[in-house]
Amino acid sequence: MSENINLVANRRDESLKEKKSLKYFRIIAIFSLLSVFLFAISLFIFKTSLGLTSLKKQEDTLSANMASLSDKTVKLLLVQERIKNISDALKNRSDVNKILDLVTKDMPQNVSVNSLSIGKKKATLIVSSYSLYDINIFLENLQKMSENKKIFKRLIFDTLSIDDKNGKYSLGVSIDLL
Amino acid sequence: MNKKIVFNQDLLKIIYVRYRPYLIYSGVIIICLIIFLKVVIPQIYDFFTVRDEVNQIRERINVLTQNLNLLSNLNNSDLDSDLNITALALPPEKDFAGILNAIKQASAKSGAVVGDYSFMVGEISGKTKEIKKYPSIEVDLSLKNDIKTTQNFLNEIYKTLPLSEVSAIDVSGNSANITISFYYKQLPKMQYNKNMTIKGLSNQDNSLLKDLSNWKTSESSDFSLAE
Repeated sequence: MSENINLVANRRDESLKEKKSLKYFRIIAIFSLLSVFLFAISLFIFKTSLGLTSLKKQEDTLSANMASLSDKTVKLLLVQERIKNISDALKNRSDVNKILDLVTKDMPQNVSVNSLSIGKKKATLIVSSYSLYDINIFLENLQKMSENKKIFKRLIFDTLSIDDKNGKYSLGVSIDLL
Repeated sequence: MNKKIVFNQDLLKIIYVRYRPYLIYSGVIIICLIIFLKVVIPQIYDFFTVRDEVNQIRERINVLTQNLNLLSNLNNSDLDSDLNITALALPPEKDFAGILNAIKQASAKSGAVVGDYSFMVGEISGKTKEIKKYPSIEVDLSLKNDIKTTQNFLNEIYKTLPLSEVSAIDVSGNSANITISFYYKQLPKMQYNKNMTIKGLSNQDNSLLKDLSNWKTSESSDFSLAE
């Protein structure tokens, strides 16, 4: 028999290894248990702290309060809808008055309107006067307004005639409106 | 040597006794893993879903609180008056009485003598002629005045309710033919949802309401929501 054979020492090594691996197993098991437990508890606490139920209750209460004011809500929304449409209408309505005012505003006293027609895109005007000078002033005023291009797009000098019987001059003008 | 291992109860018992601690710890680890995958991870997803829902509810609560504050501070009679004025300015339906009243008021204020007039009503029901997205009733008027009085009449009719637009004018000597379009627009169906922020009337809106109430004639009839 060999004297080097030592069965007792080998068994001790194995036992030590076994204990070590068992220790690792235990640590991993405890760590797993603790992790799952902590995760579950933390999630529960976080979810509870969000206060979903109380917020839902608060929302329901506010909704009920709003429902009691539904009459006011509808009225306010209707007023706003009307105001929006009225503003649009006022902004876009053609201002015939303004054209009429502009044409007649700087009209010399001796010039009178024979006929005036204002449509959506065009206006025609016939004025008359005994003075050709006054008619010229009126025409110059119209020309200035046309140059500003605020309301008039184009000014067309249609006719200039004189009535032999009374010596009255007549001027016909067409205006293209913006 | 050819040894044959036979699994019988005794052998399993020996294995169990020999590896019992390992089996218990492995079991615990596996159960924890299953709980983590099947319970904890879905709970994490659930937490984020709840958090998003809570944020949405908080936003809705903010909107509701703002709306409630705004509506609580509004005076019901002021609202009625505003609604009345706006409905007179832009009636929800064809307002013949309002139109006649407006013409009467404008002629009285300007001193214009109104001759013949005719309504271009179109279809009584269904769609009518629309001018710039608003349906309207056209009225042809003849005035027997000089151009200055006609001008005054136009200025008055522009500042009288219901709102109108003079679409054509023909002046010849001491008479004038005018085409006026009176606007109207049906009330829409109002839909309120609790996510919608209700805004109060702006200064611009209040200024327009003030202008409209100045244009309101004494004979204008009141509008009620029930109509």
